[in-house]
Amino acid sequence: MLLAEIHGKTLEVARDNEDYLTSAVFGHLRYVSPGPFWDDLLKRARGLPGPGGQEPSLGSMLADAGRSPSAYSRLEVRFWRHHATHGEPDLILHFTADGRPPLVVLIEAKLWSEKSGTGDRDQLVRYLRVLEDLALAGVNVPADAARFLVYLTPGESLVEVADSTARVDDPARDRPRLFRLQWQDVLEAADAAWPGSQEPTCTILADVACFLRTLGLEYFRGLSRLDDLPLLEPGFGAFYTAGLTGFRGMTREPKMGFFEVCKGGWS
Amino acid sequence: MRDASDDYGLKVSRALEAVRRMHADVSKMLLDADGTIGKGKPSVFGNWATRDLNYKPKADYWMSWFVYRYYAGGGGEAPGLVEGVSVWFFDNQNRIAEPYLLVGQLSYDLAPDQKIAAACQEYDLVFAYVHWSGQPAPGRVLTGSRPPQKPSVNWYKVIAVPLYAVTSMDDVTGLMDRVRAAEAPVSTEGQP
Repeated sequence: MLLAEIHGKTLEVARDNEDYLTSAVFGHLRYVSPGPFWDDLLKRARGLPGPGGQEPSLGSMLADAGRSPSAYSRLEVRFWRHHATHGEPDLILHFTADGRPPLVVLIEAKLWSEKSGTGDRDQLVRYLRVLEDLALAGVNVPADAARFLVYLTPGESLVEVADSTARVDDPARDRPRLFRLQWQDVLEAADAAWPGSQEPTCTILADVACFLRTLGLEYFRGLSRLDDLPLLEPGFGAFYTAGLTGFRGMTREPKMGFFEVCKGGWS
Repeated sequence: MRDASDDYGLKVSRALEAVRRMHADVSKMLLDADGTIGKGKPSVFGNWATRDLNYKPKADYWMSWFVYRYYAGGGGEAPGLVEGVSVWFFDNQNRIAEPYLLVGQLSYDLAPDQKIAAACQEYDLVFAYVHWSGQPAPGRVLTGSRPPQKPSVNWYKVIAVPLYAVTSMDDVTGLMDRVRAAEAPVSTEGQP
């Protein structure tokens, strides 16, 4: 899907499907070794505002503890691992290195839907429970593994995350584990990392950034412009005031000559 | 049938491309507004951003004339306060010559247990600018209270600028800062 979308082979039904999006993006990112991209991405993951409104960054917190992704040598990405009691989180990132407690980052990705479940069945609350019982999801880690849950969405999700934190089993343990991230952050982290990366990481990150940009999952940077748009005359566009008349052929705006037409020039 | 060598359809296609680009850019702006102006606040209309689309075969057009995001100010001392962002694409009465961005605050009187979505309407920012203010003026914070067209509005503050004057999200949040800093008019209705 990723390369097809980049090259304009769009499949509309897949464009708005969060599972295809997750698969396309992280199916490529799983080949990116622990390093600057993952450090940067997790730095963009934000926790709940503390006193004074400051939001902790997951990556900065890990860096302070000497547990940045780049401190690890291996990354396994597991997709849709089923936990018999608490459901099926989209991704489990499992960073490991010899002689170091692993780092586990569980990611729940959304596109245009909100978290599922209410009350005790709140999806994020359930996945925080998965962190405490990773073995049942097929991930065996020692007790001292660092564990976090990241909620990945296309827009600000503070309201949803804050709602979940009010329902967690153990606030002192669970609240500091819960972070939120946007797809736009994935694009920005990939964009920042690819120029300085070796192959094949460089191509993977550049493709992921291009793919997310093609889907419009980038932060607002102003309005783009077509250079050759003309100044329209008053009365132009009166099509929408047309009365109830029968079809008499397509109405032609008399002053459409301004648009440059380059036949065969589609890119 | 006309001569197929006519370029008119290609020109229309080019115009539609410009419209699609505008929609894509505005979509990014609205999503970023959720994380800035609306951060931590519930969206009054959930995940919806437009309305009034026509799905029927009889239509003057099938395009959205405006999009919006409204955020509830969040209970407490101002239960009826809403902040909003809207983009007004076109107007069939030619009251705007180009697409406009509107940013504003509205304060509604709420009956006990009345939800904010029952008081706020998606086009309130547009109406505040073009109807309630009486004299729309781009680039100025327009304020008013108890508009006769919608007396349940305690007060409103709104600013409108041409959409293509906006170059960044900072421009949008800067407009909201101007709106927030403007004094809210006090209604004298019912006072001696």
